[in-house]
Amino acid sequence: CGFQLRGAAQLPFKSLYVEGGGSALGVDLQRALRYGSNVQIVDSKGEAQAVLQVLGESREKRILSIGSNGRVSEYVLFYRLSFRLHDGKGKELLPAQPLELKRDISFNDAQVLAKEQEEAMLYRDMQGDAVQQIIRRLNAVKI
Amino acid sequence: EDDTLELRPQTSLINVFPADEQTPIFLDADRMSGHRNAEIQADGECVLRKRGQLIDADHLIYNQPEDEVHALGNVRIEQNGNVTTGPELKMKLETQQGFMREPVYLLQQPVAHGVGENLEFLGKNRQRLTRGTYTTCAEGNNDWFLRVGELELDRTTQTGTAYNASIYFKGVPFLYTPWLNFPLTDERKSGFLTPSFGTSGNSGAEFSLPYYWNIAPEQDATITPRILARRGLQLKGEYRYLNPMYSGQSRAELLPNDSLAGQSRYALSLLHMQNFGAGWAGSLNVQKASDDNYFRDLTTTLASTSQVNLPRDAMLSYNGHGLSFLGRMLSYQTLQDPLAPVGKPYSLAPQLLVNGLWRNFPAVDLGLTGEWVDFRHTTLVNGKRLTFYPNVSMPLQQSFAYITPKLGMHMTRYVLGDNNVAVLPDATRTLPIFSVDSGLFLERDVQLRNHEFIQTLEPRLYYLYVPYRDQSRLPIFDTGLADFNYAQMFSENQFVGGDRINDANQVTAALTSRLLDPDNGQEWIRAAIGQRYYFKEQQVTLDGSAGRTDKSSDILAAFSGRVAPFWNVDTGVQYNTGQQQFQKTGVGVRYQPAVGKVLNLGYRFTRDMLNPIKQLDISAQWPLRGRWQGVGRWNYSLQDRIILEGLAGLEYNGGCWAARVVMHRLATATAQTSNSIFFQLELFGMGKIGADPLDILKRNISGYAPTLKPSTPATTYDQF
Repeated sequence: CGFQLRGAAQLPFKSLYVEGGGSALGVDLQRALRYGSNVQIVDSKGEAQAVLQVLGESREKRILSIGSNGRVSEYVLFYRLSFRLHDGKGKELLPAQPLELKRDISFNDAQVLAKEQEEAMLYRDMQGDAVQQIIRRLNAVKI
Repeated sequence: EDDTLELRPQTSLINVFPADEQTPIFLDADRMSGHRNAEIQADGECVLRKRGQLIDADHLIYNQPEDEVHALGNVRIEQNGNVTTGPELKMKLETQQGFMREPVYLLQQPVAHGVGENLEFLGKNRQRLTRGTYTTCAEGNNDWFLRVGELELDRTTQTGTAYNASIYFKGVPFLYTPWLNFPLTDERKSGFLTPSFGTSGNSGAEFSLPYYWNIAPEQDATITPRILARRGLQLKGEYRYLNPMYSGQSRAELLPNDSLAGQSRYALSLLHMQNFGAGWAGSLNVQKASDDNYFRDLTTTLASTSQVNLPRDAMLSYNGHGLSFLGRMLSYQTLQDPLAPVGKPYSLAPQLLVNGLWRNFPAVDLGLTGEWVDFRHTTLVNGKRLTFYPNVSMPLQQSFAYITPKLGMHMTRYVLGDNNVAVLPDATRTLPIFSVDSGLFLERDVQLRNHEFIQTLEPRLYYLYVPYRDQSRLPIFDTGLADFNYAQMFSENQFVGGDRINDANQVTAALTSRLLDPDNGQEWIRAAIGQRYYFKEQQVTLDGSAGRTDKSSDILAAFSGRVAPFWNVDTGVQYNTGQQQFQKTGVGVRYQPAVGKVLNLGYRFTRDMLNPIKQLDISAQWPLRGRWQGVGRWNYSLQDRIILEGLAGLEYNGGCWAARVVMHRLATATAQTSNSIFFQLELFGMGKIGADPLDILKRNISGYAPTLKPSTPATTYDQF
């Protein structure tokens, strides 16, 4: 039906520096790019043809539904970030791109400790998803 | 194509002189007399021009040594885009000091106008109006205005300060203040924010007037006196600060003498985050309320009224070199609803957590989780739990596929203490955990509605094996059953928390497909389906009850994305093939054809013994006739046949003001609701938006856009 194995992402630059590469998101991004693209990840801005900058990472927990007793029965978790790609010399390769992911989680006040750990798991899941979406967008960059 | 050149119209005059240079004066009139370097008298249609200034008058005297103009009869002065007319003007042109009698003025940025007895020009950046009016409405419109004893406009600090001021709306005075401070730009400035008044079911009529204090660019405070007719005066304060190394937000609320409850009531909240550098960080989150009903009685937002467990949480963490460490003390104040009490959670006193991940070492990843927690509770069994979980995985990755086998040894030791009523023994649990995660990435080009897309197909298989250990004699400190969702399907344990580890011999299969825009890589639509297949029956359960015997799990399916211009869909279902029924359904549809025009439809259903959910949720912000717009939300529980949250509001945008009335109904506890009505009048240019109804609107109507003043047009001319 026309489906083919995905080739390595052919990014239009050879070397990339990930600013803030020490964060959990940064580590995942570098790993995914190392194995899934033609790009070489470098350790300094100076030697990179392109610089990926994560501008902001934020989490929000919003009430999704309540029960008849006024207590929360579900939350929705948002994971948002914005990133841009530039050449390190002032030229914008990809302007600031917002990215938003969300997951629903049921809630029970009696299990607040367990739910907190479940939340952390969902945020990690969204982070992995965000990495894939960032690479997809880098892949579409034209220089 | 027409190749002829055209002159581009220039709407502003170009400043040809440096700003500090003395510029010539031009004077036109029917008759002129006098001497150079002395006094010049002009009569009849006098026009005096100097860079940045233009004065018209019937009669004009210019004293050149003093650089002073004295104009009489139909005087009009225009400087820096501001126009003032009146019968008499005296002004030193260069320093812009002087006065206008009985002025009628029209300002730019912000657009404002008014009249007065006297307008003093106190230099280029300051003016003082005596006994006059001020409004940001367009010229000729006096829907609202300030009547002031004195008003000082300072362009250096961009603030207006009024003394003995009354606010008139539609000709009716409704608020008097001896002193009022407001910003002249949209920047945040100290001053009163929009007052709000309304009524809520159990506190009666109420009025609050927030005062915003812009202490410094990175610090601010809001102090809000709030009068509750049936309870008394409540004071609320909020202080925020932001710094590269630390940030925080503290709140304190005090109702010294609640005449309805017969006691003093308060709520405190302290949030502080500190970055110590070199990977170390700390945070503090301490909240307290005077009594169980504080938020239900005294607040109207769901985020407040639904609070049950208020944390007292202190954390210290380290992150770096593939290692993270967390030390934490956590306990809760549990606010009870007498008709539906909840169990108080354990305190962590303390929790010490270490996580390590060393990648490519050399071809494998080494992981380590270590945790020690001292769980405390006043009535349930106390105990200390030590967990140690080293693991090794070997990720094999290609651009189109990956396979990751992982093997770990999970070890837990319990030492129990007080309240051990069930005489649970100290125990050790050791479990090997083995998993293989694998995935494939396929893609193709497709064309849909004349648009090229990349369609992906991403199958994923996950195998998990964990042998059975009897855990029925282990306590439950922090553990619950996780929701069944995509993240959970691919995790090692169906429980969250360390007290139960599932026995498993199972495979999860899932398929995801996305539509991507090849031009920018953005995801338009995503669809996914997945199911888990069990090769053995479940033996470990939370409460020792009988486990699952099914050969397969429910099916999860989801579909989300932009299905048409302005239309967004987000759906997910959990379907039980054995019983042939939906366990969980969530459907959300949003139609947003423009900013300020949004319609949300939602249906949520969960089949559950303890927490069944079956509700409809409809919300909208929609322009009505003319300047009216409606906002509404209806969140109805089909299960309990009650309105969980309802909101109806009308907004009128008067151009230089907005009025809104919002009715809000909220279920706060079993058989308890909070009903409130808020009226708000927002006078544009008199402060920053931010009172209660707006927060409620933003939270209730996803996609809500606040009513705004049309942006101030830039002056079309500049100098002469």
